[in-house]
Amino acid sequence: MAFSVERPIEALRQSLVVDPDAPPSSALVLKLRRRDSLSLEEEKSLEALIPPPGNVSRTTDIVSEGHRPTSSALLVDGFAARYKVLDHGGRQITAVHVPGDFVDLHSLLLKEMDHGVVALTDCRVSRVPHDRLRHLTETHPHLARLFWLSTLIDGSIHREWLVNMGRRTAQAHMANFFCEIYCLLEIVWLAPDFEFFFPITQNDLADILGLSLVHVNRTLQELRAADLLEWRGGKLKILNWNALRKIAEFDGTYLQLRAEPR
Amino acid sequence: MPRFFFDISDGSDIVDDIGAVFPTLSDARSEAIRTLTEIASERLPANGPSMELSIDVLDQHRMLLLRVRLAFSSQPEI
Repeated sequence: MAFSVERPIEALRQSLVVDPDAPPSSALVLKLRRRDSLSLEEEKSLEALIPPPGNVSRTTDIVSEGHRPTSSALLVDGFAARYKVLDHGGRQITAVHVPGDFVDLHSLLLKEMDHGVVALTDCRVSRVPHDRLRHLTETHPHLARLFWLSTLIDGSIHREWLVNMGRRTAQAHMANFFCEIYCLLEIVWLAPDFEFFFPITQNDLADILGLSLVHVNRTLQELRAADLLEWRGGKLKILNWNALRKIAEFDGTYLQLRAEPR
Repeated sequence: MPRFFFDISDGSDIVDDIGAVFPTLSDARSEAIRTLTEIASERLPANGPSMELSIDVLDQHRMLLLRVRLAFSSQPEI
């Protein structure tokens, strides 16, 4: 695919895989564009901001707890998770990140990491030095507000996860998570026709939902038996979006899916 | 590591065809207990007088290795 057009993003289409030739800023641009329009100059500045990505293999930390990063990591391809490990060895995943997410944008201000971020699948990650991010926020206040918005949306996702953990049944919780991950991937054009790559393990899913592995398997079987979704060979397909949404009581308002001046 | 299968009896009849891998039968037992309490927190009847939940832990040949069982009952005040 050629990316010589003025706005490289216009050459992208909904696809199951991240185009390896697309600029590493592409998913980030799509993510911000869903919430507000970007000027050509802003898109160019983002393209110039993001260095070429490096590889991080599955189960490796992208950022570790206790570190003081001097750069923020943009996920270009793959899935990553924020997590905490408990004293008895159990792990709770507190957020799942998709391409276009800055997994530790907050480290620019928070400094010391109070949790780790691990690659759930093989990932490509661009590390943007904090001084360059700081400079961009000074020269581009609108982009600074959109980065702020991204961290606010991370917060609203946490709120939804709290409700899921505290009050929803396992089935509604799992359905809610799948609805959310679909929406996040659709934003960055990685979920054509309600289908997307999601090659995480059932252990990961158990740590995401805070449920036992067996309960997760069982709940997955219930959703499959009701013809709501298929999950085979690392590929997940939502077969009945409306029914899944209903079980989940899913309302995407918290994801801020409308483009408006911010 | 061996794969264990967990058949849950709670009124529905979904057979576990996925299973899960654990280092030992003792780990599989802990998992079955955790699952039982999670399911109990959702499925115990608000109005019914009693309910039994159990999980059969099977090996890959579907041979029964152990069963964990939880019995619930609610009696009117005397």
